[in-house]
Amino acid sequence: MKVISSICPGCSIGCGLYLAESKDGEANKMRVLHRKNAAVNEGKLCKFGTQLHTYYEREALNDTVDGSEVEQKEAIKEAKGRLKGMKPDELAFVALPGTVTNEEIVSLVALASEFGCENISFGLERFFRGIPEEARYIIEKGLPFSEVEKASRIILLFVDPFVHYPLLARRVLKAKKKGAKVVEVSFAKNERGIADETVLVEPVGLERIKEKKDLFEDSLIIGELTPYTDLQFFELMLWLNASTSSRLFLLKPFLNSTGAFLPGGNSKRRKDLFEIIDGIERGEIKALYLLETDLAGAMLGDERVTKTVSKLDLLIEQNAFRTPLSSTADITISSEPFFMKRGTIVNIEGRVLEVGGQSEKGLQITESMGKGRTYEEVHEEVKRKLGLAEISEFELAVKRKERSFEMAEPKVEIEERKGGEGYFLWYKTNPFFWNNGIQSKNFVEISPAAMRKLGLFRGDEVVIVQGERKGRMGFKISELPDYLILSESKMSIKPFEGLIAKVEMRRRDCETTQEKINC
Amino acid sequence: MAEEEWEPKILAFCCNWCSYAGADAAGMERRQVPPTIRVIRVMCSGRIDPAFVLMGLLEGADAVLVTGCHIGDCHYVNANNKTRNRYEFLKEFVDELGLEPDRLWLRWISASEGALFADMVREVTEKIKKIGPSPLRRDWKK
Amino acid sequence: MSRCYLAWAKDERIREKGADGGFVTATLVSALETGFIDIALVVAKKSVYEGIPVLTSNPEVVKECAGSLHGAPINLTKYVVEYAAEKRIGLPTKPCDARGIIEQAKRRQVNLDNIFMIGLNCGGTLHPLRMREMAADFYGLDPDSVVKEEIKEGKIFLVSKEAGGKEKETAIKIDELEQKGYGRRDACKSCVTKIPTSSDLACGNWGVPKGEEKKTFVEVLTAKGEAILKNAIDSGYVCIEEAPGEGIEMRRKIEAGMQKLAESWKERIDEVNALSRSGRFDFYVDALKNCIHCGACKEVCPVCACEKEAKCLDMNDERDSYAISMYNVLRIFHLMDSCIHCGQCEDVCPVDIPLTLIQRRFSERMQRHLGYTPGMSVDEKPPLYETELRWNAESMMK
Ligand SMILES: Cc1cc2nc3c(=O)[nH]c(=O)nc-3n(C[C@H](O)[C@H](O)[C@H](O)COP(=O)(O)OP(=O)(O)OC[C@H]3O[C@@H](n4cnc5c(N)ncnc54)[C@H](O)[C@@H]3O)c2cc1C
Ligand code: SF4
Ligand code: FES
Repeated sequence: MKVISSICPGCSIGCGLYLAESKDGEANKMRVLHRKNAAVNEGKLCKFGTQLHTYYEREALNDTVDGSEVEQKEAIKEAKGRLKGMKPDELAFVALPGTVTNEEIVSLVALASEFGCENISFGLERFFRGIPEEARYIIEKGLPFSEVEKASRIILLFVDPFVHYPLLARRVLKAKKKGAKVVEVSFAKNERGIADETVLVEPVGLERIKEKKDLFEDSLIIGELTPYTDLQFFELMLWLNASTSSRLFLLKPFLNSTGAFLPGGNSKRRKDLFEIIDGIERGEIKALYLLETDLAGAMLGDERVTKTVSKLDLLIEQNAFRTPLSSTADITISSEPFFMKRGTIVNIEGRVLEVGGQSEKGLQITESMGKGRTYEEVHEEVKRKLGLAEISEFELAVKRKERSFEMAEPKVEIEERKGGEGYFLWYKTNPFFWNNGIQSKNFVEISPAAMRKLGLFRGDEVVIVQGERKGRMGFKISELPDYLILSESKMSIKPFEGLIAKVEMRRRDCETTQEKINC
Repeated sequence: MAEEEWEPKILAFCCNWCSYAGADAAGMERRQVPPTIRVIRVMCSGRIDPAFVLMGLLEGADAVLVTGCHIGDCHYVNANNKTRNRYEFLKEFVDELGLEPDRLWLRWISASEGALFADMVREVTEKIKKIGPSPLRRDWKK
Repeated sequence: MSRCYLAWAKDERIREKGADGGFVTATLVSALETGFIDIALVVAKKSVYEGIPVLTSNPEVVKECAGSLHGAPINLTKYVVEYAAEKRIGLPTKPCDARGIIEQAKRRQVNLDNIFMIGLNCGGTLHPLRMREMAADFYGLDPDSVVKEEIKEGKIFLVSKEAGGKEKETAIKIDELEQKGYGRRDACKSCVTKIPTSSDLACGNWGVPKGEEKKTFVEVLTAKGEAILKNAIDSGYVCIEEAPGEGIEMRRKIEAGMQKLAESWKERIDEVNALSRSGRFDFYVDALKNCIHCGACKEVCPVCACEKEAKCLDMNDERDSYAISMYNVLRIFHLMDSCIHCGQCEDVCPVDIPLTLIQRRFSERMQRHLGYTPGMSVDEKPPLYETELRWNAESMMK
């Protein structure tokens, strides 16, 4: 048994934990243990964290060129050569920073600039566009959880802490114990009743939040920023923040989202993830380098990504594990699983955390194509960019300064949401949602009214339909508006912006003969 | 609409050989058994995992009755001794949880004791009517 | 069989590094070197706030791990089950480690014949992060400068490294700290098993006469304990002398005093006691509704011997909208006779459910009713699985 300290890559909180590795005959066995002195989480973990070993037990990626296995050196050489053969504008690099260290980010940015390429995405670039310079800090930096505990008024803006970011829940509960008032603004009331006051909003009525502006005075607004966040809604969040005396704290799904924009720097000319995908579709981008990124897994409506990617002349994937795109990649380069990495990340609170491993494999892949620096050199650059002398999990190294800014009142009108019968499906994101490989829930939540209308009984399943797309799920009843369906799992239903989709729902009839007999 | 009188829902686990036959006898003898009861037949009271009882309560039963053959009469040697043992745990559990002790019952009823069965159901129904619906019951808004 | 000694390691380095006489370390080292055991499970110090369990057959590693860590509230039971169920193993056991191992033996997960439990008396552990806060708020120290901690004579001593490399010792009474909400974990404050009587040996500093520090008070509790002690003496690793009568008496008195204190803590931290029946119901529903079903509490539970095929997992369907989930209900129910109140579940609960209190409230009344204390003797089976009643007919009649 060997116990190592590690960080959970499930979300931007960055919980500390131990991984215990042992030999079970020939095979390696892994267990997750609780690291009680972890500054971030006291060793407490959500369901994703407690099952992290299954995340690491996925199939490893090999080094291949055009489908045949090669030495890693060969794959790297080939990758470099083929990338060189492209025009800078035809290249794009994507790293959703879930398992990417600061060092790897700095290295990737350097590599891209070696090729003269500006198309790098860490998943959230489009939110920087068109917002005041002074508001950037809201995207870049979060807040320490001690600030949540100290807050006297908390607004949960479409965030159910128990589901979206489970380790945030205890901080909100602590604030409540100290007398904080918790208000939720959401499509549905929180099942656990964490809020003292609920403001229900309809998916078509986001505009109406503006009328409730006064609610946001003197509060800490907790929201979420994902690649799927609706742009208009994002502007609404900023506006609410700008026009009241509040603070806005946005959580993010990828562990190193904070690090990605700090040591990574952020050039305004960088492309956004969706722009890159559009660029591929239009044939402008011909080569894509995916760094530790399961693109198909992180996106909804898988098939678009797969189809789009097939238009590329060159797809290079650097990852520890196979992804749905691995089989179509021209070159695959294997890196080490996250826990083995030597390097640092910055969590949403601004703590710089050491990942805990020893391996520099992933870093050396990009460095050997680029500047060829050592770990120490890159790490020094990270420290310089963060303004750090020493690294301690108890230090809130990356602090943010609240700034005031002006924001025009945004219009929030989402055409696709309007009109027609049917239901709204709301995806409630969570670590399982963004990290493929471990199963989460196989049911959706529906209202008692919907259950009665569809004549559902315990154990029945529903079919959720969106044009050609269909999803089959069990159900649970919750106190929801009649038209709402909640899902914590991904389905093949594609949301329009904001993780909401207009769908039909019916009871799943028994299809096979055997099922009919059982019915 | 006039408030209808609230009828408790009572869940009874009956063993195939004694208490279920007892319930049957109550019917055969045309005894009045309140319609509040839902019977689940099991082969032996020893089959009643405490989890079943707890699930019954969570499902919203206003009371759960555990019944079986008299001690010494169990058709599977001594399985109802286990029932008695488990019941003691359930009783402490229900009490500590803050449910009224009357929401959990253990009765030994033989195949010939139809009257006893009917009396028991009546007694439980009356008691439950007095203490009201179980706080574990969840009624969904129409 | 019970006999008491003062014992210490012959090797001066072990004795120096040891919490008291280095006896525990020397005994494990000798058992490894003589092949008396295959493997040892000890706790490595990363800092005063972090101890990591180490499974090793290398005596040098064991020597490195000498000393007590009060800020490492780990329970070693599951490590034995998971990694060494088939081996002859020796390990230090706090009362809750020993009790956990005995419960696992009852459930046939381990074979006690192969486990040598070198018991440690335990006055309690501190949560490492609370200890950091305590160092900063009460001791006025930079938490990272603390290099040593010790609990003796009712005080917590913190030794910090000052700027010039000099060491500074600061001590504050535990009582004073605990009045202000710091100090030991709730589970430890209200734990009444202070001497691990279900281990093979019980070691500690209670009963070591003043002026004789650097000796460990050892009580021999079983034949296995006697064997491992004899092995250590015969192989020349430890020295022993008869414990003086007044030492034995002093130890007994301190234990009784600690137990009384624990009973009073139980009362003080039990917020449910004052509630009515329906208040109690609301309290439990309110607390447990926050559960996110991460499963951590079951995973770390030193008593639970179910793996993936557990009833509490199998019968829990997240599609149910129960006021309390089947998982929580069954975990509480199944632990009513067997909970040893170690508090591991609460330590790891991501939504801070007061599980120690909840489990204790349900289990203590049941255990009192049964006249049963779990974790004490492998010969007493868990009463829930017995056919016959454990209590007397009279209490049944009431
Ligand atoms: C948390 C704690 C509280 C204690 N409280 C008391 C008390 O109130 N009264 C009393 O008389 N004695 C107490 N002891 C026991 C005492 O501190 C010594 O451990 C004992 O006297 C043996 O001394 P030694 O020098 O022979 O042991 P050592 O040779 O120093 O060996 C101690 C062994 O314990 C292991 N260990 C260290 N920390 C832990 C831990 N947290 N959990 C499990 N194992 C651990 C070490 O790895 C080492 O193997 C306590 C011990 C601990 C760990
Ligand atoms: S540790 Fe807490 S949240 Fe996790 S299953 Fe246990 S009670 Fe539920
Ligand atoms: S057969 Fe009736 S109780 Fe066992």
